[in-house]
Amino acid sequence: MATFTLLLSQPLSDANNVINLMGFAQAARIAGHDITSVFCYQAGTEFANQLQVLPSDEPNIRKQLKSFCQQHGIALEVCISAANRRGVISDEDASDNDLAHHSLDPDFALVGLGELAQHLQRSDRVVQF
Amino acid sequence: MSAKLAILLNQPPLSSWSNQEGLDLAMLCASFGQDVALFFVGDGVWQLCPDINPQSAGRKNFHKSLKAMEFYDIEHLYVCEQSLAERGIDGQSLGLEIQLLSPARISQLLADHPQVVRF
Repeated sequence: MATFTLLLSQPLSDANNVINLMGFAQAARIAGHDITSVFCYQAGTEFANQLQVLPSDEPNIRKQLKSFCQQHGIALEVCISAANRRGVISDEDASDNDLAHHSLDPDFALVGLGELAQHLQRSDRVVQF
Repeated sequence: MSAKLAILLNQPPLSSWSNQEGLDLAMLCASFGQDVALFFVGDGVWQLCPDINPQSAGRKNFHKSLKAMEFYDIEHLYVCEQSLAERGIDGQSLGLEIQLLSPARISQLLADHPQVVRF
């Protein structure tokens, strides 16, 4: 049995990448492996932006990822500095910086990059999507 | 003993935040006591060129971060000599403590690292 960290670093537009991530996570769980979390870094932080509206005939990969993680009890985390750089802002950070709006999806835990460092220390492998 | 975490930088440094976010992760993991090695390949070697001025391209000065790596005990900076040659960059002119390696040696070393994150 191994422990995996899943690092999501590709943008929201790469839906196939997330489908691969979910397929991998499911297969790893079935094979008895552990997954520390799905950690969103770089462009992957776009998944934590709840201010997205899609035409009704388009699949919503962001919501699919959220329900997949909920269903499988996998934590969804997002790096605060990478998120803030890309306009993914919590309620608290919005008011601290005099911004009129916030965009962070509350289903994502806003954490420091140190959290990823700790996951990597505890994991046998990291798989990047 | 080889380092556990390899950070592979292969993206050009001025067209995205990729290299900056890769170096940030390297420094953070090192400050948590993890062994980290940096690999510069492909267009990632451009960030080693002192002539490139990040500020003129609207970017933070990553040369300072690269110089600071030794203070984080990141001693392994591996650079692909073929990537340098293809871009006409003289490896001796970079002013950093780096090791120039062949692509074959780079892939051998990467295979020794159980964790590789690409930027």
